[in-house]
Amino acid sequence: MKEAELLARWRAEKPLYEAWSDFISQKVHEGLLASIAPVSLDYFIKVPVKPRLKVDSTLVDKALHRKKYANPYEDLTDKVGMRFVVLLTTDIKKVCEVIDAGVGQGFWEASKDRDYEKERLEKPLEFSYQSVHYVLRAKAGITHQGHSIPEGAPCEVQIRTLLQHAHSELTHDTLYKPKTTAQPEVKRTVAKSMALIEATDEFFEKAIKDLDEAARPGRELLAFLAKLYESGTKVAPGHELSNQIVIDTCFELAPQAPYKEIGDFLQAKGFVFDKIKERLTTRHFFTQPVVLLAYYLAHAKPAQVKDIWPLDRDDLALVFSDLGKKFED
Amino acid sequence: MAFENLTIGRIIIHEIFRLNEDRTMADPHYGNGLIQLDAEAKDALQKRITEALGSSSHGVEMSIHDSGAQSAWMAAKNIIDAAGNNAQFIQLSQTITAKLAASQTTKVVPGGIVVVIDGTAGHPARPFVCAIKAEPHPGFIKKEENGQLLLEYLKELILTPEAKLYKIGAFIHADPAQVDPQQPTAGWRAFLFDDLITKGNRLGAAHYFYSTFLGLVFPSNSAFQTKEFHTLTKTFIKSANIDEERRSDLLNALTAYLKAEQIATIQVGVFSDTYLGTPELKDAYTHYMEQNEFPVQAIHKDLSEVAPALKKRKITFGHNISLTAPPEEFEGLVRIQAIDGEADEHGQVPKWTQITIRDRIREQE
Repeated sequence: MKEAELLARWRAEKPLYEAWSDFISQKVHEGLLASIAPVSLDYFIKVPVKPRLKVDSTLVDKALHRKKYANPYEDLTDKVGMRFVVLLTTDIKKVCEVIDAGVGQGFWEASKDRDYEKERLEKPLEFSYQSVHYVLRAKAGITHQGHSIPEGAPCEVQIRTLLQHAHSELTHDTLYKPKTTAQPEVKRTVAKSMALIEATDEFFEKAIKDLDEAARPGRELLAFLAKLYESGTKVAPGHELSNQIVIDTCFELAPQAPYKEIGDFLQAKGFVFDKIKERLTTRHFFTQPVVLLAYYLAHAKPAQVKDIWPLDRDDLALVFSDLGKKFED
Repeated sequence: MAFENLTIGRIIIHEIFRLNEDRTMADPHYGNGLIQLDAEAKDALQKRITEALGSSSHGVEMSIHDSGAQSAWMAAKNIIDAAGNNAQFIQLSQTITAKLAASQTTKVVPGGIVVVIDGTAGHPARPFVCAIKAEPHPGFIKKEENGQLLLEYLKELILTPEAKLYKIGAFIHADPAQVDPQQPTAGWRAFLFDDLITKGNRLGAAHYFYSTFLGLVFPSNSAFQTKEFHTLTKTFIKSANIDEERRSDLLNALTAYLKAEQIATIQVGVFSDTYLGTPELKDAYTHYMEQNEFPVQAIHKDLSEVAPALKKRKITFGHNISLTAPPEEFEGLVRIQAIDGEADEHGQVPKWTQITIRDRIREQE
């Protein structure tokens, strides 16, 4: 295939590939949004995803000169690509699941052409570039942004952790891509940092797991309050940070699971839910399920909750007032 | 919890004045329409009432003495009976205001705004009526004009959190099932908040408000309640998980609190806040008193039954050893400290007591 012919086709098809990559980006983001809730996408994805088309000269360089493809144009799978950078190796799995689900939804065929976990098993003594690479090939009949995507159009999707990304940035174009004859000491240093990154990734996982475990009792209490709030007010409970702050501060004062005392209290004082409903539009705090804990503590441990209350005291004063109690000292 | 689940219904205000120079009464200025408040203002008004009458407040439950046709209680009852009839509510609130104005028979008593409110309180919700006398006082509010911060002087603010400047009388029909032709007020409860009463002036300035105007008297069981307060609080202190020195201090404090002459009411929350120190101990005490069904509001202090118990403080040790003293001397002249004793043969260090009496021995038997 001649350079001119290759370039002419690429220039003509660029809008199709652009649409195709946008389609993938959109579908993966949508899938993630649901699977990671209530965590936000902005938090989960550490580097904004920007689909990139190959620059003309690079395309020619790779398709015709560096590689010996049977069908240079079709075989070049990274004409367009995008990268998902996340915090943890378990987060990589979440992205993979969404991509695999896309197969079931009839969007694309997915083949993993790099899988660092597999590579680790195959070369246990080597510490080198790690990332998951997928090639997604369009299924027939996909239309996006007014373009009909050619069946089998490829797109490369890379998924890595922030640390893997940092390593890759370091070695980009110097060690990994061109076969430069790097000094053995440099190679050794890079391998050492990769080993360190792999260890750090594992520590991150453990730290997150430990944090998660430590936060579990508070989370369970909040889940209990949220359920009670919803059944009592018939309104969806809020998810704002106020909940966490009050639970963190007042956890020692709250009863142990299964929180029977809170349930019994609210059973006896059903009017509390009416009071909450009256204030939904005027007082933000009453839209958060932790307001129920405030009522319970105002009833059971008034002096202690007053002593350590972390939020606006006006809200707590109103909670006391609803229970017929003086608040100000 | 008489004032839990408080819901404010209708509100109206009127104005009354200080007696004229010649001691004749100036006619009240009557409001003719209901006051509409937004949610935030209603919340604030609710707080004024619960701060004054709610549990741990200085509010006192009173007995209804005057239930005659012209009584404040009868006007409150008529308001409740005429629920939904605004014209009647307005007219009855004027009757209440006129009665207050007529009760102010000395020139010392200032005028003020009379706020009459109906609504419900308690769980299940019961109808209530309250009358607030609020004395206007000057203050400032912050304003902003063209980015410039300004102060505006307001001559007549009312119902700010400053509790000295309002009095409240409230009637709740707490138990409608109680009907007694001999006693029309059966099933009704009355509450009073007046900063002056708690300060021991009950026979002075505030008499016109709670007695002449509201027709209330202090409950006849005050002496019994005061004794009950003493007994329960003493039992609590004796069993509390605190060290012996602290226990001794608290028992002294209990006597001092009851004997304090300038205070005419006894209140769980006040004792707790003044002496108990830690929030944990405060909550444990409040909880203990509630469990023993001691009133959560203030009670009128009457020392007649508790007086003998206040005459002597006694500390008992093992082996039939005891120390007695008049409580008022205890705090100043006797010091008790727990100290480490001498170790026994097993190396166990017993707790001993060191007593310092700031006086010499006068006599021995």
